[in-house]
Amino acid sequence: MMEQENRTSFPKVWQPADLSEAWRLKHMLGDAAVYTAGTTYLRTQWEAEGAAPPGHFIDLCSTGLLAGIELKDGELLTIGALTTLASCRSSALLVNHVPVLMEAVRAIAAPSVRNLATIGGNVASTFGDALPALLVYEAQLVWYDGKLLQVEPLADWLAGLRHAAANHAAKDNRILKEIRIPIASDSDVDSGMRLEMYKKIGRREAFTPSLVSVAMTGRIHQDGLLSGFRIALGGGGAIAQRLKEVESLLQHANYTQPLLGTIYDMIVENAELQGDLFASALYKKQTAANLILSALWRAAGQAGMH
Amino acid sequence: MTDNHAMKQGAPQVTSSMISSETSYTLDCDVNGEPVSMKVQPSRRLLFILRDDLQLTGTKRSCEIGRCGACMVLMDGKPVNACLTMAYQCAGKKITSIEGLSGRGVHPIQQAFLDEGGFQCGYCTPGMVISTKALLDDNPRPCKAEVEEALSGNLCRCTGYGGILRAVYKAIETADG
Amino acid sequence: MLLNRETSGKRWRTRPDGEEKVTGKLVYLTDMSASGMLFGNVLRSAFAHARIIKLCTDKAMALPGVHAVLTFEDIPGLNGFGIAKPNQPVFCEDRVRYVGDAVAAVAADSEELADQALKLIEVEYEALPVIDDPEQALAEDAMLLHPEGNLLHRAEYRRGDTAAAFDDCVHIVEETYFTPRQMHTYMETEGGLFIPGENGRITVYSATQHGLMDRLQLSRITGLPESDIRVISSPIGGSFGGKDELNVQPYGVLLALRTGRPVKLHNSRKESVRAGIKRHPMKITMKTGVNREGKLLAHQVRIVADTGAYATLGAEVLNFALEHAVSGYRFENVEAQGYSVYTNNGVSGEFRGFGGNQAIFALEGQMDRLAELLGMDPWTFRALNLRQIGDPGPLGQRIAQTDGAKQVWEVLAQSPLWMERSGPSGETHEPWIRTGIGAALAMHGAGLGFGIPDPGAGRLALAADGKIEAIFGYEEFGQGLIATLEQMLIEQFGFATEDLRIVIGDTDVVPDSGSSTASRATSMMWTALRNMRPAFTKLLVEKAAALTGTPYEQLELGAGGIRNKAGVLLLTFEQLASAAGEPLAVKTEFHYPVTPDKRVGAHFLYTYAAVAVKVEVNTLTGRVKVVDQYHAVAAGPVVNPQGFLGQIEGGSGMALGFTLSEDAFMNSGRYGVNNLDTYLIPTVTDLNGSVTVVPIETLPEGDIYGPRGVGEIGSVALAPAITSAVHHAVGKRIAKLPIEPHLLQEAPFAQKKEVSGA
Repeated sequence: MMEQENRTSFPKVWQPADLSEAWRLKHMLGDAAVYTAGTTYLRTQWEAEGAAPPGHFIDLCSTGLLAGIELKDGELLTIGALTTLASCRSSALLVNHVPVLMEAVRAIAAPSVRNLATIGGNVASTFGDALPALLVYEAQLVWYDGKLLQVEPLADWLAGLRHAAANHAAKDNRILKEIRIPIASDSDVDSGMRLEMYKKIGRREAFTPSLVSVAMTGRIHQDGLLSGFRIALGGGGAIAQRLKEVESLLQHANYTQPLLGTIYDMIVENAELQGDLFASALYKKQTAANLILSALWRAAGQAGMH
Repeated sequence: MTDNHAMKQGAPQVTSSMISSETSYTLDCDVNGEPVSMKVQPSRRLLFILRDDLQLTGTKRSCEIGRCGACMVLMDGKPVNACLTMAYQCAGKKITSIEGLSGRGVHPIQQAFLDEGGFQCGYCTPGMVISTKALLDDNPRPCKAEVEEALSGNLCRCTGYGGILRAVYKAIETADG
Repeated sequence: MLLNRETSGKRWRTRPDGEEKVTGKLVYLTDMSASGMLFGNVLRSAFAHARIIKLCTDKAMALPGVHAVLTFEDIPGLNGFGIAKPNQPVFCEDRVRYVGDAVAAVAADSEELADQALKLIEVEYEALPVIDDPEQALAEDAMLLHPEGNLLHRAEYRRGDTAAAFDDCVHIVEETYFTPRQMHTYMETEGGLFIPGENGRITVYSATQHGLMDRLQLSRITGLPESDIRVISSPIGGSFGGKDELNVQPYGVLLALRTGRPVKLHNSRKESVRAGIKRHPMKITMKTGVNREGKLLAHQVRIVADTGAYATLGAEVLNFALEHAVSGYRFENVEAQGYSVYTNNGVSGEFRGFGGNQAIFALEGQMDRLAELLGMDPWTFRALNLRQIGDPGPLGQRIAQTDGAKQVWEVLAQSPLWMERSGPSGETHEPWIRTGIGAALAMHGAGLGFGIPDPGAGRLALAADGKIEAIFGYEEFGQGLIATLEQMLIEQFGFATEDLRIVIGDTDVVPDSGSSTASRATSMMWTALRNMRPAFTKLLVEKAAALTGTPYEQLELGAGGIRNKAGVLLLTFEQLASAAGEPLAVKTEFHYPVTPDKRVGAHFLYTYAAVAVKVEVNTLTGRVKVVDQYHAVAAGPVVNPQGFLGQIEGGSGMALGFTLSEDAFMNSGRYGVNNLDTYLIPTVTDLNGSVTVVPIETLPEGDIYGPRGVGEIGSVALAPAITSAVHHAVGKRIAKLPIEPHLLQEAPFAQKKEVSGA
């Protein structure tokens, strides 16, 4: 049984010692190679979607540089791209500083998959369920482009994806090294209650592909004043997106019932969510709107507004 | 991290890091407490290394994309799907399959599955037991939500999970003494 | 009484196959290997419907390491299989009718080489129009998929004059119900090992629910006499009806015979989805009317079942659905028609519930809707029309009478869950979560029905080593058949666990016990043991009396051997066996009990279930969560408490998937889902609600049929109970499964007014 692999092609595995070597390999091998980390999502593509595995894996794990979560100077949370989702799930730093991201990670796959899968892979897949959460924290991506490290706002990268061809990401030879999340210190913001929400809606209660996912952070004050809202949608193959118009509307608005109706209409009209084999675009948009509104309503209740 | 840096040289010589010329890759790892050293394609999946190369068939093949948990094993004590894990990702790791768990008779978790009837056809059972082991090693007194999260990657088509949940709670109780 | 480990006491036993299962030591047939083994694989159609213009295997055959490439030209016998009607080609010759159709098979030194060889087989197709809808297939101008047309089977039942009766109805409900293409999703995909032996014999190690039927079918295909084929078919990693039909066996056998070497096949999940049978999607239109008092006057049914490309048991499933679409209640006038229609979709076949699931979903939906029109409590309305002891079966046939319908109705009516429904509705802390409680009732036939060979047989023997052997032609696919048989032997004969050796799943040794399907095996084993007990006891005790000199009347069978009436062990079974010097064995052969009325497929034994569920509907998302289930099941005495509980819990878990998430939908004859990343069966979190199971064990005085099987009854009434509960929660009627969340979605915060609860 041991000799069975000799005559058929198996992917070649490269284990570069550092990012520079990894990048050069990719440059050299081109489309025949993929960067790999946890490989969980790639496996699904090959096995379930019938895509042929590439000829070459460039294993980023061998570069030994990219895992770990740190808080730098109390204001910048860095998550190495190779940090497994399981490490994220058990990170006190994430719970304390970016609970929306923690909730997103909890909703991704199952523990065994999270033990292999990385946060970088979730981002690089272009539609991972962590993306809406990272968007509301205004995360930045640190890329290695073969020479230098580049810092790119996640929102900009996603905007580029949205406007580029579908295979844009595949042709991007850059290596995601790290995710940075600026942490606002509490003294920066006035009083009020924090609202933090992440919801992923799929087709069953656990371990489900998402139809739509919603992330939101903001503050609600005793008088009903809303401030600092950031809202993002994703899931179901959609490129994650901020709902800037809704955020603007909420900024320094007062919570009222009619306001909720206006937001609902705005989301249903403007969210860029497409229908798929399992749910219509309308369902996804209405679900997103309902989840956002219900979170606002609940927060308003907690703030004594009802 | 892998230990396989033997062929690495200076940065420009990029081809040096390839680990899968036709016969060169040797996987060194530990399976159920025994050192294993075997020539294998680096992208060969742990599922087939266990089942076909090592005849450890307690690890089951089912969906092959990490969605059912039938092939769950422990890698350095953490549950992973053997169908998602390739040889090069196992280098230097300690792999525990169901055979490694039950090597010394019936483990208390397995006893709980027996007592409560937490199985029917049995095909998902090794994976269920492995996931339960990983959970209880990490968290001896999990709450309901933690139990469900820990088992969310293991599908069972026979039991409706009733017996499985009773077995897990029994195992928690037993461990609590 | 509530069924669980505590209430079962000592009757809750550790399963004999348990230790091997929890330790992973059990060798499934797909775990087996043999030295010199080749790997087989099957080339399946690239089209849902096409002509084969050219088929060339030369390049594949030329690949080093490939030992055989087979096509239709290589079949010695019948190029067809199918339990009831063998019209599915083993290999397609000139036409393919679905994406799972086999065109060729290869055996090679490795799985990878076999895959590579498949790619080298050249097939030229000419695409044909895809018929992907049964109504389209029935159109006059539709292309014919089989020489006899596109209608596999038409079923009909009439009683009275429905047209006239509808005129007398005060309320009429007409609704069309749709059910999904559910996949069995056994965790072990199809596969096995095929070993050619000496003298041209072959041994098949591959799962089935009826080894002797596989042997018959394989004999037809290979031209070998049945006696040259040995089928070993247990243990099995789940089946649920899905492995009853042949799957990989023809290919394994033909490849092994051709190469003279052991051949292994094991379907990938994707292959399993593509080629395997599914539950029939059905479109069921019902028109049902009542008078002012709520009495059912007329019931009209039209069932259209998508049976896919080939027959297998499509006709039988339709008969069953039709029977159950008119079951459970006293309908004065009935007119039911059913059509099982060929299409280019995946093959539909046997699946736990066997058409009852679809029919009962529709029927119970009608009951709820009628009750609403009448302004009546839905359970009270059911009682008004419920069948009574003494009533004929659904098709007017004579049946074994029990009071099961009324019993389950009453137990459910008294259940805490149902009582909660009439109490004050519970406040939820989230106003968008709405709870509801609903219930449904079902009667479900067991056995294959009138006109279909349905044999029962068994043997008991004292083996040479002193073991008591119980030999049956049944299969263990998880349901606990071995445990149930062991428990019956212990409880009825007084044997100890260690005394026993259960022999099943080997066609060389087992008698023709019939299939392990249709909730029949428990009944049949019980009957067989009851038949054999006097003779076997007499045989052993007489021998023991002769050997010990103790009078026959003072001896009895017991744990470990022959005991006197005081319980003292006088002779161990081992001593008895060695002293006897000859095999001490008895056997029984009989037929599953059938109705004397000549209606093909009509059943004689029925079980009954009433199910109540509590759901939470999240109106933000439209998603439904089942939080509580209560099952009352009337199926005679509980033989094996753990098995009984497991069947009801497991069957209802499967039904929950049928209701909420599962559909292997197809577009133009191609599956929209290929694996378990998109075909979603329930996880532990979907099934974390409470489940209460209450068996009703009493049978009428003089009932001779004993315990009824419960393999299916847990899976047939849950769907309508859930949709009933959904209606109770949000006032919406569901007619299509799985439930589409968008239908239940609201916009509670989008109105420009204050919401309730705010």
